[in-house]
Amino acid sequence: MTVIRRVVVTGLGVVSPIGADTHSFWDSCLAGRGVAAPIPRAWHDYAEYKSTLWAPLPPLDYGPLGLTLAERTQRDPSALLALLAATEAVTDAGLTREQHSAKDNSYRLPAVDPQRAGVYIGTGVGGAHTFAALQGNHVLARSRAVLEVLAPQCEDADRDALQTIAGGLRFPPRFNPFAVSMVMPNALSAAIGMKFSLTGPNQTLSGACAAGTVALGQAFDAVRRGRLDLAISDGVEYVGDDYGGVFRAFDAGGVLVRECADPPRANCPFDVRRSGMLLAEGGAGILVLEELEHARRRGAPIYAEMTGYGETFDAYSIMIVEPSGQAIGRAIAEALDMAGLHPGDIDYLNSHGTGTRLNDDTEARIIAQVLGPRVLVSSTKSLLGHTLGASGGIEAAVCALSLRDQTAHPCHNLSHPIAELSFVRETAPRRLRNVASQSFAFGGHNAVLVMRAWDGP
Amino acid sequence: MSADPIYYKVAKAISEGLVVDRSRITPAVRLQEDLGATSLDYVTIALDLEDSFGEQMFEEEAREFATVADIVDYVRARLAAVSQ
Repeated sequence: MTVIRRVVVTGLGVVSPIGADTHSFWDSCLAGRGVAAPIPRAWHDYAEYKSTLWAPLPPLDYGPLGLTLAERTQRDPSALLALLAATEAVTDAGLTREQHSAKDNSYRLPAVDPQRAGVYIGTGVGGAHTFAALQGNHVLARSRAVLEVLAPQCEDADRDALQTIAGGLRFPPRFNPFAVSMVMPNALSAAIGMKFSLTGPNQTLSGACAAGTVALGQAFDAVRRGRLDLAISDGVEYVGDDYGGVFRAFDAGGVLVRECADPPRANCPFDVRRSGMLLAEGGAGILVLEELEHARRRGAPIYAEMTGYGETFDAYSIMIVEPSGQAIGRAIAEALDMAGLHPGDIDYLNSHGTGTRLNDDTEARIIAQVLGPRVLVSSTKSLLGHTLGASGGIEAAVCALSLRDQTAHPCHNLSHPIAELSFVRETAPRRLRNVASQSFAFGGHNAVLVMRAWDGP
Repeated sequence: MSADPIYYKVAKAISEGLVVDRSRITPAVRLQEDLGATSLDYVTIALDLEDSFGEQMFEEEAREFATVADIVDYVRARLAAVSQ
């Protein structure tokens, strides 16, 4: 018989466009500081776009942030973000580190049985940045070499034209021998497992924009059912490839923000003037989940208790959320049931809130139907854009921080809401006992988690 | 030799790539026996040198590098060849 155990959140790590660590991220959330900027100039060399805005990450100098030359050359940026956020989360959880290998920049966690500690990471596109860069080298290197030989043999105008074409063929100088280990999505959870010498289950889950929430659900289940004492979990994404290829994929799909003339106001989930989602360059949200007694024994800080999780699938469209929201409602009901709650018990909902017309319509309707108009609602994506597979992790961190601080961040750029819901309009003290976060994804994946305020036993 | 910019960049790449203190990097020090370099480490060092010098560096040639001086000599010859 499986004994169901209590699971608490003991550490957080966040890297995002509105803050490179949890503290600065949460400060930006509470201050309502969003970000939107023009896409890189070089991307305009390759295509015309319907959307010209994204949410870039702050500059990240990985060397001073503690990552070695080997890590920087052998890891996709998504894995580097994962390592930064995981390291912050482990430190935040008060887990002392002992160096395992200076050369590998790896550690042991003496307070944790490594066989009973696992890693569950969600991502949408994994190492797409590396794939795009190396495909550039693979396809273009010989063409540019030919042009560089031909150009000097031509007359002025032709020579200039060939040199211009050759100069426009941009790619890394080498086809990186670590390509496979950089592109494979499971490099994300593997990098974290190696960093902290954790030898329990190690999984990277792909669930597009719900990936982080799905990964956290699996981690929660493993700790709750006793397979693990501790899990490092949640979401990671990086889509700032050299050519804007991933951005173009979403742009071609018609889901990105169209009203780009006023960048600071362009990203406005749940507002009548919303025109699509603001794609973020990337991000990572990592949580340390821990069995309650394990956390207590080592005197760990506790942000919140994770009490429920629900997961369903639309079986409707690969690109469009099922308009009735029936499967979303079922995911909410499952999560509430596991937590032993009624719909009216949820005080705050961190919505999926992308800013796409259909998604927000469906989500607003299902919130009203299932949770009612009293629940406080905000969209973290209204501040930092959509970090795809990382969004569930970042939003789970928001839930934990909201419970700790008994407050909720505002729904940014919301002037004329599309529904009569209790959208958070300003940061203020709140009484939050139970909160939920929900994520939906291309493909039709829906995932919902529930957390409870930690106030002792 | 430390004033030599090529030596400086090679020593830095080896020090950072192998995570060994710069004081251990001398022209005669042996990469594998003294510093524990593996074949993967040679790739990491080559990638860093490519960033530093903007030219493609060693691949198969790495097998013949026994010491730090061997890499310095290779880089010097490589840069001379591409500048011609």
